[in-house]
This record gives sequence, C-alpha cells and structure tokens, in this order.
Amino acid sequence: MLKYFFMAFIISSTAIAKDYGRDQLQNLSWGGVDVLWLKDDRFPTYSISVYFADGALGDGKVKGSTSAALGLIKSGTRRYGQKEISDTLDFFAANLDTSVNHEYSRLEISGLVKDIVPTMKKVCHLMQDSVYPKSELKKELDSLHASLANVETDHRSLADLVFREVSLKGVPFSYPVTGRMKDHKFLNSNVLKKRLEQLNSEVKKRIYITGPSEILNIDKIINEECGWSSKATFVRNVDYKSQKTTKGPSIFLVPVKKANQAQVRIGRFLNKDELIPGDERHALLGEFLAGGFTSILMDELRTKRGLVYGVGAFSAAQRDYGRAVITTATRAEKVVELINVVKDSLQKLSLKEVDQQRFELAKSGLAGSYPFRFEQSEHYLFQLLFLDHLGLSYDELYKSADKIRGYKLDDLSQLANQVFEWDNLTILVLGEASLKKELEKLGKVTILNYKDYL
Amino acid sequence: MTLKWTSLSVLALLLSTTINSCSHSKKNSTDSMASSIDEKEINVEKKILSNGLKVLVVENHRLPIMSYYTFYNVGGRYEESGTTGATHFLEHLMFKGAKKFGPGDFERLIESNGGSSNAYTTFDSTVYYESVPSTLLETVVDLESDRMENLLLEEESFEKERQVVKEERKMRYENNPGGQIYLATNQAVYQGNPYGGSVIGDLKDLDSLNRDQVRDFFKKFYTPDNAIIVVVGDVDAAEVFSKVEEKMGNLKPSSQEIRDYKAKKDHIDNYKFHWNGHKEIALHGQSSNPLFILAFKAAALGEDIAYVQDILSTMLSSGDSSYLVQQFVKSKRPSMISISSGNSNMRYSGMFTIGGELLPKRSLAKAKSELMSALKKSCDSVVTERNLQKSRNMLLSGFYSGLQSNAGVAHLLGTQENFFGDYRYYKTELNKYLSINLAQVKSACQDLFNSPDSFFVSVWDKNSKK
Repeated sequence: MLKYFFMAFIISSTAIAKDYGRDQLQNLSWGGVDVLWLKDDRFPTYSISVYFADGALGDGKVKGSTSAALGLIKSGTRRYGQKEISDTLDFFAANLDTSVNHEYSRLEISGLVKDIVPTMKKVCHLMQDSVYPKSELKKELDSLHASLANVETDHRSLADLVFREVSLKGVPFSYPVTGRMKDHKFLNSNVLKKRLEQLNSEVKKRIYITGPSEILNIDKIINEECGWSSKATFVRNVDYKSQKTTKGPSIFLVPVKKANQAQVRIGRFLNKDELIPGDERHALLGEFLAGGFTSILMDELRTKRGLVYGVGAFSAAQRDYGRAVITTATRAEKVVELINVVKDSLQKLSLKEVDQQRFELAKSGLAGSYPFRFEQSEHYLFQLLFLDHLGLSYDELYKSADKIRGYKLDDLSQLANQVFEWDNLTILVLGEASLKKELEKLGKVTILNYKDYL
Repeated sequence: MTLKWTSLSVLALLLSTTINSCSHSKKNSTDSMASSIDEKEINVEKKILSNGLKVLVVENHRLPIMSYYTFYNVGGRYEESGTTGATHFLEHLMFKGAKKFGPGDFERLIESNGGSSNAYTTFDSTVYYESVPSTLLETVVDLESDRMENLLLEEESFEKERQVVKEERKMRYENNPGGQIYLATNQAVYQGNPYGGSVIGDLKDLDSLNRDQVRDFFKKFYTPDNAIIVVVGDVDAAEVFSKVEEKMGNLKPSSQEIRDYKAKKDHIDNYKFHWNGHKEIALHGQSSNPLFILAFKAAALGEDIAYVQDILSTMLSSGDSSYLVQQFVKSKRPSMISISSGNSNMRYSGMFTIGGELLPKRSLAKAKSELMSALKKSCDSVVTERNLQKSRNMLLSGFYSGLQSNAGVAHLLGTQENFFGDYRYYKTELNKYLSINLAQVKSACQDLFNSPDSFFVSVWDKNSKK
C-alpha cells in the first residue's frame, strides 16, 4: 500500500509547475486606477471584482452602513426604481453582488461579454446615483429582521454568528459587518449616500478583471461614468491592543430549543503580532486538522468514532488579525467526548506525537492541490486580490507549494501550540439548555442568549 | 433536478464554447485544443467495453489535472419499503475499503496527491467523482475498479458509518425546516411510486439496515453495464481506454435476472401519480416564519413540455425583476421574504414547484390564495418576448460559469449519457430550447396553473403538532 502512496506522490510532485497562467496576467492603468487583467477567452463571459481599501471598520457611528450602502445599491436611483434596475441587469444576465468585511469591500460583476458595456454603464450609474428610497430601505430591513428573528432554526449559522463575536471580544473586528438589528434604525438615505460617496471618491480602488480582450473597452466607462480615479487614496488602517492569553478555555453554552445536535465551535482570535506575512503553515494546519478524510480530526471524530458527519478547521490571517477555528456538530450526548477528542488531538500535535507519515500526507496533499488553484479564473484572481490586500508579492502564490513542501513537523507543531493552545481557546456549544451540566465537566460554563447577538 | 441546468449548460456550450489549453500542458497546446474541442462542440471520444461499461474522454491540457466521474444508474427508486436509504448508505460505504485497497487507502491515495473525492445519491443515480493531478489516472482507474468489484463492507465500518449517516440526516432534514418541507413534499407528490421514498432513509430503516441487504444492493447494481465513466482533463484518450479496459474489462456484467428486475421496476406504469385534486399538508416545524411549497404534477426528463416548463420557471422567479419576486417580495406591501420556482424533472416523472418563506404575521391561507391567483394571471403578463430573451441570457450566463472546470464538463456529459444514452443529446436539447416560442410557454403555463391537481405543503411552528 505504502508503495502506491509514495509512487503517486513522487510523480505528482515533480509534475507541478509554478506559475500557471502568469503569462496571461497584465497590469493596466485606467485613469490612474490600477487594473489587473487575467486573459481568459474560453467563454464569452467576464468577471470583474472592484476592490475598495475600506470595509466595515469605516462605518463610523452607524454600524452596518458600508454593508448596506453597497448591498442595497440596486434599491433605486434618482432616475430608476428598483424594478427597472433589476430588469436591466437581469436582461443582460448580469450578476451584481457585494462583499464587505472589516478590512475591505468588493463589488462583483459578471455576465456575458456582449452586454458588458451597458451593464457597466448601469453599475456606474448605481454607484453614482443611488438614493436608497425610504420605502425600499424599509422593505429590505423588514425582510432582514424577519430572517434574523427566525435564525434559531439555522443552528449552524447561529453558532457561527455568536462564536465569531464572542471569540473576538475586545477587538475592533468583533462587531458584525452588517451591524445588529438595533443599529438599523440609524440607516437612512443620507447615511448610505454619504458612505457610498466616500467609497467612490475617497477610498482607493483596484480592479481585477477576467475575460477575453473585448472586455477592456470599459476603461472609459470606469473613469468617466463611475468617476473612479487615482485621486481616491484612502486605505483603512487600524490599531488595537493585542489580546492577552487566558488561563483555561472559556466555555459558552448558547441554549436553543429542540436541538437534536449540538453545534461546537473551538478557536480564538490571532493578534497581528502573532502572524508572519506569507506563512503557509496556517493553511497546512487547517489541512492537517480537517482537510479531507485523511485529516486527523476526520479520522478521530468520524472514521474511528462515528461522532460527526463533518468537521472543518482553519487558521488564517487577514491583514491585521487572524482567526483559528474548528467547526463541527454531534449528537447532544456525545458533545463532551467530542471536545475531549479534539483537545487530545491538538495536544498530540503540539507535542509532535503524531505520525510523521500523516504529516507528510497533509503536506503532499496541500502542495499537490496547487494546480487546482488556477482552474477557475475568478478564483485565481481573488487569490491575487487578497495578496494585494495583504501587501504581499504574487510570488507568495507561485511559491506556496514549494514553501509547504519545505516545512517540518516541528514547524507545524509549533504553530499548533501557539494558535490552538487549549487554555487560550474559546469553546462554544449551541444546543439544548440541559447540556450545561455535562459541559461543566470541562470547566465553568457561561450561558449566552443568542438574541443579544442579532 | 439536474436536467434543467445540464440541458442549458449544453446549450451554452454549443453557442460558442472553447476550452483552451495553455503552455503548461504536457502536450502541445494548439494541437491538443484542436483535437478536443472546436467552436461548436466538445470533442468527446467514447468507447463501450464488451461488458457494457461506457467510457467518455475529453482531453483538456490546460492544467495537469483531471476529473474522473463514475455514474451508476441506481438510486432511491430501487429501494423497497424497509430499505429506504440503502443506496445512500452504500454510497458512504464505497469509501470504506475494498479487496486491494483497504479501509483508508482510497482517501490516502487521492488526498495525499492533492486530489479530492466525493459522491452524491439521488432517486435516479449514484455518482462518484475525483479531481486529481492527471498523473494519478492509473491509480484512480485501479481504485474505482477495485471497489466496483470487491467492496469489503466490514462490520466495524458499517456500524460507524450508520451513525455518520444518521448525523447527516439530522443536519439536512431534522434540524432544517427547508429539508423537512422538501422531504415531505417529495413523499406527498410521489406517494405510491418509486420516487416516494427517502434517499437519506427513514430513521427506522437506517437503524435496521444490515450488511446483507446492502451487499445485495451492491451486487445487483454496481456492475460495469450499469456504469458510465467520464474523464476530462490532461489525459490521452487512448491511454484512458487502455487502462480502463485493462482494469475493468474483465468485470462481469449484470445477469439477465437483474436486467429483468430493473426493467420491471422501471416500467412507466409504476411512476403514475396516485392522487388527484388539491391537497394540503401542514407540518409542525421550528420555523417561526411559515415556509411553503406549492407543487404541481410535471413532466419526466426529456419530454418536450419539460423544456418549456424550464423556461417558464426562469421567467417566473429568476432574478429580482421576475414576476413572482416583484409580486410577493419587492411589491409595495410584500408578504414574503423569498420566493422561487423550480422544474424538477426525474427520469420517469417530475414536479413543478413554487416555494417561499412568509414574513411574520402573514396568513398562510391568504398567501396561498394570492399565489394561486397570481400564477393564473402570470400566463398573460409574464410570457413576453423580452422575458423569453431574458431567460435565455440568464441561463446561458449561468452555464458558462459551470463549465470552467473539468468536473463541470464531466458532469454535464455523464448526465446526458446517463439519462439519454447519448452524451450528444445536448444537440437535441439545444434545438428544443431554441425552438420554444411564446405560445408554447403560455400554453404550458395555463395547463400547469389551471390544473386542479396540486399539493400545498407548509412548515411552521404554529401548525398543529399532529
């Protein structure tokens, strides 16, 4: 068996090249706005990602305003109502989505090449002229609040939402980018127009575009109709006090009714000074812990014990902070057993008491998946966008497989010991209130009301 | 469920798809492109082995990777009362070791080389897929051959996996109002026919399924003449055929007895609807906002009317400008948080659904009445030339994005071959879609929404617990 494993590994390792598609990348400047074009003429489609160097940290007093200003951009302008706007975009089969996190924001546009010009004209019109009509704003917020009020039926999302805020408590990144329900009464047309205007005229932008060469004819539209130029130079920066380590994990229970599974989240906030730019060990740690069926947690929790259907893990850095998280769910009566298995697995890794072959397997798996990172152009470009956001060279992507292959078990156990040090973790369980007694076997349990986080 | 997207993705391909190779291929890029795909057609090479195993190959040398799909023509429709969930349970167990590659070997070989694998089960099919570096071709053929012939089904793995499937059931259906209403609607609409079971399995069946039952299922249906292999990526077609022939050419096809059994189970008479009139089911569930599905009897895969109903569904609810979204979600006084429609065609039957979530304090009865009325009116107001063109554009755009990966192309071709016996059936489908006119859509709309036969299923925490 081992023979097959190593033969296959050696073959794939030597076959891997380093810079797929790099020769298809071209840097452009549209009126001073930096543009990165990934030529892709396989299909008559395009995809555009506009990066704004500010996110929810720029909300100011009205939390959720950046998310709403971009997210409700189709709600109405001085000339067109919601229905006309959506009819135009739908007719062109154009998708217009937005994404806002704490550090940066994105506008995502995709569609058919034949309609890129009228689509971009419409998008620029929305960016310049959106007025967020009161009636549309009310409808959107009513709908959002109705969904949030019903979130108890979606245990996974609810656990993620509460865990994020609890585990990041005390740092600027903890507050939800959409704001809480109580913040939404302050969202009005003037606030959103002002925020959109800031994004248009003050915040630095960079455009990532993929498709055939015909799509480059939107350059004038970007400058003249979107009005974006090199004059917008603001880049969000943030300072915060590093979080101190704690003694013993913090354990939280979020009671919900009729839960025949317990959602479990384990992890913590990573301070900026804990992060090394371009450190691929974080990706390797996620792969080793929960990257597929061969990972240590899938093996221990699913294959050996049948405790879970799935488990996820990541350790990842944004520009100014990071998060390390393990995500899973099990039947209520097994929750303490599950947490103990996770603890034991992490400790073994920290002490290097793991099988060297399993480590090599995670390494070869992650390095071997390298060519898949280039299969879909949109995904390829996003990786470059993120490197730009981090201020790192694109070489970080092209060298990542080699870097991963160079790591030793010491490197990984050192990182695991740092980011998943048990006493420094937050453990959150979402399930029946009766779980409290069982969880107290692990330590002091704090009960949280999920409604406080909506 | 997949046909709508599959059909249209093929349509998208025919209009102008080309899949380019790049300089990192192990072959000359220009030559490889010219040999595999031209402006209007995917260049597929096909071979049928003497034991009935069908193999399709598309060479795409853009990156040194490939996707390998195996479609088995077996799904929940072959399960009997008491064995619901057997097909899906078996799908899990197919990853638990065979004679040559024991427990854990499958994942180790795939994942250690940077690949990934997974599978899914429906009423019609069970599909396994791997995306791996193309250097792994021989290994993957060996792995798939081994588990097609010699699955272990060890007791320890069997019992562990039973628990895993039950956890999956909780996640997808028991703790999820969306899953709860989907399951209930499916079982109501297809009551009394082979689609009326449960692919995930009833809990009591999952608890009682034993290894002999699952092994029997495996022996019946995991045979080369019941399978289609599709390989897309940086491979040489002749090499693929050679390796598949070498590893799987000697596998025995199913017996005449099994073929007769399948023919009997698949007889079209078994798939008739067993209900008439308007029916309602009100389920108690956790959702504090009422969820509903309004379901109508619809066509099976490949029927002409199914393509017209696909277009109708797109006109009704795709995009914020669509009729139902404007009527119920974006109107001055909205009653719903969301609404969508779908034309779900299976091999022998189908249903057309409209589903949504109401805003709080809205009456389900009133929403149902308004919806029924709006649907009848829609046949005049929705079916316009602009909406027809809009639907074509939207479907086209969506499908190009689905074809950016080897896996997407493999899935497309395998689905066509699996359901229509010919991967080239997309040409027929293209003609069907392009020839649809407004009168056809209007007529289909009227037939559908004037039908007296419909099911209205709701899930709500205010519904009675009975």
